[in-house]
Amino acid sequence: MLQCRVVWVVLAGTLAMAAQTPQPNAETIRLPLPAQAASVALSASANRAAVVCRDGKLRVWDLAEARLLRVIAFTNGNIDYTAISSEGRWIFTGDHSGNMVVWDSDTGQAQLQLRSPHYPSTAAFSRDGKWLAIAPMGDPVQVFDVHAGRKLYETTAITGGTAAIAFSRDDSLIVAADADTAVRVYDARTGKLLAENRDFLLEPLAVDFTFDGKQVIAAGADKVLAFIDANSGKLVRRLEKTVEPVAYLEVSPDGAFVATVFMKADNLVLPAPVAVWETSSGLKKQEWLPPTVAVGTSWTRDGHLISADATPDSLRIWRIR
Amino acid sequence: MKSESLTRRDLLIKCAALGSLTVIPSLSLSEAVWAWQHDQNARKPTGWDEIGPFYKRDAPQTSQLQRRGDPGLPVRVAGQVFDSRGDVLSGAKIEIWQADHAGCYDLEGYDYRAMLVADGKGKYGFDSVMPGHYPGRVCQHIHYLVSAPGHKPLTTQLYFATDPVFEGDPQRNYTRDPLIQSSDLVRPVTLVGDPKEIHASVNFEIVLERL
Repeated sequence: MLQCRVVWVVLAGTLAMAAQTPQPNAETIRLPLPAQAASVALSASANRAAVVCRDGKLRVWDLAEARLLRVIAFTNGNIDYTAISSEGRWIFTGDHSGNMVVWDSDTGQAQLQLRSPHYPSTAAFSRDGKWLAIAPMGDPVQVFDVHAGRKLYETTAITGGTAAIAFSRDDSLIVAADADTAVRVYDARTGKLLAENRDFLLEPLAVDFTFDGKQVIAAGADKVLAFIDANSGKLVRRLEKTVEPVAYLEVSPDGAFVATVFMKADNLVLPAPVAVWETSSGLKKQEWLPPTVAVGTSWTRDGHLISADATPDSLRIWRIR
Repeated sequence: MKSESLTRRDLLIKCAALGSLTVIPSLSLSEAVWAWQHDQNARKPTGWDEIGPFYKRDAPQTSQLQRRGDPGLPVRVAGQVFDSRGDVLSGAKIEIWQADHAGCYDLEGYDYRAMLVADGKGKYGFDSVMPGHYPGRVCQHIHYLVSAPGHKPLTTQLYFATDPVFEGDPQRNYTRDPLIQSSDLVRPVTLVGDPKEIHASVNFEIVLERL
């Protein structure tokens, strides 16, 4: 917690901003890049950012010091998806040819290398960073032991595949937002299906667990946040209809809020808002429109929300809350 | 000295290059090569493409997607559904969805969304408009989700050889849209009808893999 408070002071100082503490919706740091960022992942601790640029290189930044830690060159720079573990050590990259790698950001070495017929749709590390769940486009969710470098299991095939995955806080459950419009909860150790919700008409595109792991929050092209009982799969409640589909959501560390990143349904290349909802009341507490499309959004451990957008030569990190 | 023997694939490609082999419009060269190399009736499974973010279940069963007065070039898409042995798949379920003429998907209702059932000869068809270019995607496309008992469900997308993105050469330029996995998914477009009521016609054959 203390570490993250220090982070913001350092970031503000780096930019020589007038205020000692960054204000909401303020640009807090600008990372110079030789080529535009194509895919970005922010660690939950907000200490590291994994940035894949159009020059085919993965750059790992320490956000606390605005310092470039490492540059990793790919043989194929066409990266479709990037994920980073909570503590920032492991970075997943998957390219359009189906080559997937877990990098150790401490050493720059590949920890796990995989090959899939299809490129990745989504991926998520367990909260403790030991497991990695990957959903290649159109294929079942596959779970790997990152340290042992082996596959643990894969879930039953779902037509169209999976758009989003999340682990519960205790890493006992996995939830998947599936293209057949269902939300499915699995036992994270075995891959056994535990619950299923079929209340969405359109595809759910984003999922996370509430703090206690008892409910799933899911949203997508139906433009509504749904709270689902993780044990039964039954719908518990829906929030008010949103203007645009939800592309990403993440529950805050204390569980009090959920952040949603929208997508412009009629034009994916235009920026869409980032919003913060209070989970208890279901009320929208904040909304912010990034200057360009948000390429990464994450809560910090001490409850701040940060979001990144890309210019041709930099990555801008914004403090939303 | 290295001996030079032609495989059947080489022979077909050389014949095609010399113009001594004509591939029927509904069959691409790679499909013809595939069929030659396998059983005479065997068919190459239709290429996969991702489902995209806007699939909606429970679409109405209709073959008329274009409503009277809708803007855009009318297009008639038709085809047959087979399995990879070449057997007709009657009763196959075909779900389709697309953007309208302006490139917008209907998320609130079911405009330009439909569910079709292949008839006794595996045939299907629908009337729509040529989809617009959806911002964020490169090419015009129609989404397909096809399923039949005992067969692997297929998600794919139909593209149009007349799309300006291909500059008249889809075989060469199809990779300009990174989501297109195979040029086989880019189909020829024929303009038919009298000059006052011209419409486009596209044949898209579907081949499912057996489980």
